Amino acid sequence: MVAVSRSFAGTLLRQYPPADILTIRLPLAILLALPLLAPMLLPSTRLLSLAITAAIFLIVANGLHIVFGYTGQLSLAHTTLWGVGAYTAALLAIHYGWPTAALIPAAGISAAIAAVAIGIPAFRTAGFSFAIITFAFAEILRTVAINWRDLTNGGAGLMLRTPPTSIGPIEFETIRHLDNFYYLTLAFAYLSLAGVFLIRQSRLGRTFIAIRENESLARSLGINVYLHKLIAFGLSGFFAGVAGVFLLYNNQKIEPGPLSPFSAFFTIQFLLMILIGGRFSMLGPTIGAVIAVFAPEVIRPLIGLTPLGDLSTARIQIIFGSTLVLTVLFAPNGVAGQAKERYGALAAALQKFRERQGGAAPPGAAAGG
Amino acid sequence: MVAVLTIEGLAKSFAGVRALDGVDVEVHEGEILGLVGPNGSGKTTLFNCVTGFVRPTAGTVLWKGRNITQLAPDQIARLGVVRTFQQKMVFPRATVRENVEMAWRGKRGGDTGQQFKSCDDLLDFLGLAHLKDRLATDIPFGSARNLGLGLALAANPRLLLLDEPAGGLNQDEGQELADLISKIKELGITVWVIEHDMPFIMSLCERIIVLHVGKRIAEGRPAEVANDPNVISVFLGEKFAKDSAT
Amino acid sequence: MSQELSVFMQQLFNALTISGVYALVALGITVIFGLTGIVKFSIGELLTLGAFLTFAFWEGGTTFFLAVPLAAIAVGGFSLLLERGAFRFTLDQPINGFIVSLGLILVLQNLIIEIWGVGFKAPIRPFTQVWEVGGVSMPVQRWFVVWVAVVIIGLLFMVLRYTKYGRAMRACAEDRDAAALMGIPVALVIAGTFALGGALAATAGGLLASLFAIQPFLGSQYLLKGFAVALVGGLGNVEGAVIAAVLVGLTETMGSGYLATEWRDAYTFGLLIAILLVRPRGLFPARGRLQETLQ
Repeated sequence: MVAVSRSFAGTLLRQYPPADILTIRLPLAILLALPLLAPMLLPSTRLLSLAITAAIFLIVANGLHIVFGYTGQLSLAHTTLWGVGAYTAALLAIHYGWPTAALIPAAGISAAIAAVAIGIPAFRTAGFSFAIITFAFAEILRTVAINWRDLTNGGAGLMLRTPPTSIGPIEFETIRHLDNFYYLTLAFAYLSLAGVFLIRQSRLGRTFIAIRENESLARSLGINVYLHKLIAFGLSGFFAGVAGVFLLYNNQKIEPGPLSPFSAFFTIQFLLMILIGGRFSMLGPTIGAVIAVFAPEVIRPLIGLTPLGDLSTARIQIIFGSTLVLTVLFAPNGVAGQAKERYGALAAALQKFRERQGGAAPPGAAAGG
Repeated sequence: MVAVLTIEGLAKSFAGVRALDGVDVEVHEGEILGLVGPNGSGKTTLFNCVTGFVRPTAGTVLWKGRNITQLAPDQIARLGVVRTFQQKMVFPRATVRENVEMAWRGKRGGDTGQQFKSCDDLLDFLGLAHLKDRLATDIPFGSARNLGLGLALAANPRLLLLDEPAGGLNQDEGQELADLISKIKELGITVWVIEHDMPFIMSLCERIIVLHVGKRIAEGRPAEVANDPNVISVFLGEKFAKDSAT
Repeated sequence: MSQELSVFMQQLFNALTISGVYALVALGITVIFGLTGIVKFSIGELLTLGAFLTFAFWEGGTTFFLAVPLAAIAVGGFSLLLERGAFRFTLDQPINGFIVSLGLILVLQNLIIEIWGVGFKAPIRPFTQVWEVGGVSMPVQRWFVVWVAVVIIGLLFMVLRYTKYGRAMRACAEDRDAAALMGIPVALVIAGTFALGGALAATAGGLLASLFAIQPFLGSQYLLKGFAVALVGGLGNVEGAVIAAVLVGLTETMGSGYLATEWRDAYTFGLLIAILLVRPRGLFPARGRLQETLQ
């Protein structure tokens, strides 16, 4: 145990040389703590609702990050798993009156099981075949949600009228206690971030990345690629399932329509988040989720000033789509990748400058994440 | 001489073309065995069959008496038979140290047999310690080659299959590599190496197998093989072909 | 003819019509994949664009028989522009090309909504007669669609087999680098194939505009079916795509005819999953290096 914690401390020190703490880690920590102040900073209930949406998206995106970002497997069934979590929670809450504390693990586990069930056949193929098979499963699950009316109430979906269970005197009812619901969701968003961080630091995470980087090589070194892909997919499903509970409470319903987790639109949007944020960075999905939710808020008034005028949903989606295309073409490593590159260039320039001044060189740039 | 790996009658056809045609090989414990042959003679296919990346059409591969012919590559690797690749030999978007950590297979129920105390120990052995925080895609080719070798070592092999480790290296680098392979042998790891560069393999190996169009045509000590009329005709043939092509 | 038999024949006829449309979409997907390794999801939107352009030309007074080729040429040109502007930068990383195509779905679908609105457009009916043979009703319009599809598929096969372009395309599909060494203008061939794929999808869309009411979300449904067809047939395999189109068309119409209609998508995707599990590269795997991405 002692040895483990010592090696962990070693890892931390190696990854975060002291020189970087002031320039990156501190500003980053402040930025990450900022959402705690959101109820005080955001001027309207509408914006706080958007912050809740961002927190929910973040959990989903962090889940997708494990299977797509870390392990390199393009799952097109991820948002469907989110829906599976929401349906599980709705059924357990409506028919059996389960408390929120029980719904969260239950939804997570059911989505993880669904992920593994899809993964067992799907991971027998690779590359595009895998992507398409997951898409086919997503379509089948959507058909099930629409047609198995006894269970899912068909296209109308399931309504949930009970708010999350209160903890002692703290209530989470979304109309009168939106702040509290926001903090509850945010807590799980932070947990999901801690989750992807811990996975990245662990042997499991390194194995995922080995598979992404070079599957044959990983296999030749004794890594059971199939098993680890299943584990990654199961973990990503767990994240999505947990997020499903918050989606359900936030919308007070779950249905399989065109703007639900079962739509291709969301599948695309979550890929967009990870790509814009940076698929090779731990914070990529977080950055992407925040941009995806708040960018239209920023863009809308700006465009309102131009001759384009009112920004319809269709126009926002055109902007999203174009952004995805441009990101892939010009910044395939996303915002986080760009930032890292810029910082690396800056650090190198500084070092050169110091060397010319005859000062001691600082330690090398941080390792990639 | 104890045979650790025994290959019997191994054959592989790709769309009717015989890449391997009934090959028999014994790899002895603790030796450095060479595998040479002209392009397309089936050397890499033989390695692919032994390590489970390609299913042979016929024949068996025994590892310490156990039939491993139908096992998956990762199962074979966990039994201690680990190979390297000619290309794409490292994990590019990870640091050198992370690369070794990814491959590290140390704690396996008590007696691990792992030759190195830690990843850093292994990096020192490879002479890569100074590069450990660099991304693997950014390091020079010779270092990447060493790192590829290091990944295989980190996986705790008893038998190491090296696929043209000296390809693309200059003479000095080749000599350093030969020294490194000798040191690996001294750790008690058996080495089987494919190589094109004849002087390299002649000085390194105790025994050499020559493959030609999927068949073993010669086997023996370097000096014996070099004077084998069959081998001479095959390699001269290749040389003539090259000369007439240029 | 007995009642059961005529019901069966009716299903068979329906399967034939839908198979023709699926085959056109699948061919568009399969030629692009075979050549570049890019799975072009946005081809569904090109189909929708083809349908709406056909409708717009027809509304503007052009006859349907001219409106479809006009739309096909326009969309083919547009697809060419997309290749020049975006896809050609992703040739070394096909997965990026795939993601670009996902982005384009959003852009194109919403552009169509911006231009034509979300409502339905009533089908164009150049033929109104219906042939009745032994209790099977066969609208002439549907026969027209079947024959157009057959002729286009036949022409495509001839082009691929006997023309210089076709030979160049097959060489590029087998090994792009080797083709370049042989003096084949690879970039030109790829651009041409994107135009061809777009034109095929647009033709399918134009034909659909004469069968059903069209709406901006039309594409995704046919894209998925076209994709299932291309995969079942072996991505990159032109003959395989045609056989698979018939197979998928039959599964779907027979499934919804004799089992429950509302599960018709599940039949197709169930078939797709089942086939890919047994044969990960489809029923008739194509040759060439790109196929390795499918394992």
